[in-house]
Amino acid sequence: MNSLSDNALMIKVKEGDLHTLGLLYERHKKKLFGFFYNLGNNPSISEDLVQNVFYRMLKYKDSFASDGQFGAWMFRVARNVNYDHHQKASKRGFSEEKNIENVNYAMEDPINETQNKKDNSLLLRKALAQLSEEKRQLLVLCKFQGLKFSELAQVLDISEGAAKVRVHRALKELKSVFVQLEKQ
Amino acid sequence: MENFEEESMAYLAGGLSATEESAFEEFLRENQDYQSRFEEVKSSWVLLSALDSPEPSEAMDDGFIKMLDTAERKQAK
Repeated sequence: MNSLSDNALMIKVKEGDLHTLGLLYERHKKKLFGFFYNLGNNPSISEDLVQNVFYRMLKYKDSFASDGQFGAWMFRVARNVNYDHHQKASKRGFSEEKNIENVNYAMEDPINETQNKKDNSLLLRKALAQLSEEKRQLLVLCKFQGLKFSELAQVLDISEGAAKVRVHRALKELKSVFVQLEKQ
Repeated sequence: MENFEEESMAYLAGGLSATEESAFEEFLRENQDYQSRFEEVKSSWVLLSALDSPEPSEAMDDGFIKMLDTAERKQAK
């Protein structure tokens, strides 16, 4: 079972073998957690959002196209989960808006890295927080989806060429903001 | 080369086929004036690789198992 592709596993889930979702969870939980975390959600909320993705995968399993790409489908679900979460939060009048102050919890990360790398990582998260939601998602998807532009294009429903152009623009802006923050 | 920056990014991301990759490397070798443009894209790309995240907690696994168990019980009824 472990050698089956993600698509084959999701088809099994779709056919009613719900337990197989556990394998997909093991394969993708960290990637999804990183996606939500780097969009500016705190660790606890990121964990809730990962669970929500798998809940929706079960609920909407029939919408998975058997000849489709599992990764692109999963991240489309993840984007919707993130969007709905922030819509609900803003309706409740509670905003977890990503801003420079809010990303400081990254300083509480496990300390297995050098201080220098940690500082760079924090600065990078601060720079990311200053980009538009669309650009931030592009870069985070690029990083956590395995950097395949064809899949990224599917998630965003744009052409592969357009995906490359947009990622390049977002990357340029990120670098520019990062350099500015470094000077401060 | 058209869209040189985008192609550089695809090269760095491992998104080119073996043939395209060789062609891109050959282009870079033969066009040294593009080298600095390539290095510029590379420095941004390397920056992105510093993005990381902590490990999720065991509570997330527990919550998933509980959710799956509930769904399976519901299906069995």
